[in-house]
Amino acid sequence: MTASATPLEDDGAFDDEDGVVMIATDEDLHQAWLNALQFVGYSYEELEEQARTGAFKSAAAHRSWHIIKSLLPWREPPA
Amino acid sequence: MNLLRETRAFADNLSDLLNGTICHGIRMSAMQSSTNRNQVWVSFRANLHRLVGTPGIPVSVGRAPRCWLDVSFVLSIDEFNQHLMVVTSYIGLYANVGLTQVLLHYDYERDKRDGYPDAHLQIPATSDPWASLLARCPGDSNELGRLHLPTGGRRFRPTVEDVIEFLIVERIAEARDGWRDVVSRSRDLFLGRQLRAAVRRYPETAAHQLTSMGYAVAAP
Repeated sequence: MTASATPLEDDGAFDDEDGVVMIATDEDLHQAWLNALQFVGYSYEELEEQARTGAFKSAAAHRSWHIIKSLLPWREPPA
Repeated sequence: MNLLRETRAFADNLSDLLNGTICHGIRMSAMQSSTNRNQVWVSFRANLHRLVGTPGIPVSVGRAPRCWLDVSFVLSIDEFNQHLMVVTSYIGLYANVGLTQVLLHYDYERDKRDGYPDAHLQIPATSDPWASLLARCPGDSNELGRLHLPTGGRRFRPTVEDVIEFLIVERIAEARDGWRDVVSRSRDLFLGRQLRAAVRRYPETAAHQLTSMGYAVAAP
């Protein structure tokens, strides 16, 4: 994933009055990272290898890789 | 440009598209990391600690669903800081609510680095002719389902609207009255955004075409 987005400047307050947008802390994402790998039953390295060969072992593995790589891009859980 | 505000509108439009065609009461939500504010993830029923293992989107306007969708996007702002940009997207069709029985999935990953096409379709199905061909090829893939079928590239890749239309016209999903208008409006919005991006990328081509159509176009 190599999106070349520029750093964003806050151009005003964002009012999410009915909670569509959630802000996750590092602690939240750390737990999500652990939960995702536990759910799918593969390590990060195993998922990475499955992605490299294009041969995911299960639908859950593929879906989890999409999420982990996009939102939780760590080889190890963040401290 | 405010990423969260634009993402909120994107999620709401996606909810309206689904609820106006083949779903009922769906509400897409978004999540942003407090330390990476350049990207936002849009999905269905994710919570802060559980991003996978969540249920799929029931494809139903009233009766028991026959299939479920998994739709998620990672969004950012383009390099011009002007428009919302899709970094990755995943549109999967499943035969069960737990999303373990996948029927097909459309994937998009901007600037994908592993050699597979940025936008592709995978259909986890078997095919004797394909198996025969792949058995004679040196790659790791030996099943149709492992192939990454290209689907048009970055600008005009398949969309959620296309998948919705597919499910309706193939009579897999029941549709609400007026679904064609809902799909058409949403598709026009997407194509308009993609066209603007294409014009930014190829302004001389755009100017040439407009000039040939009689428009007066001046260089900046």
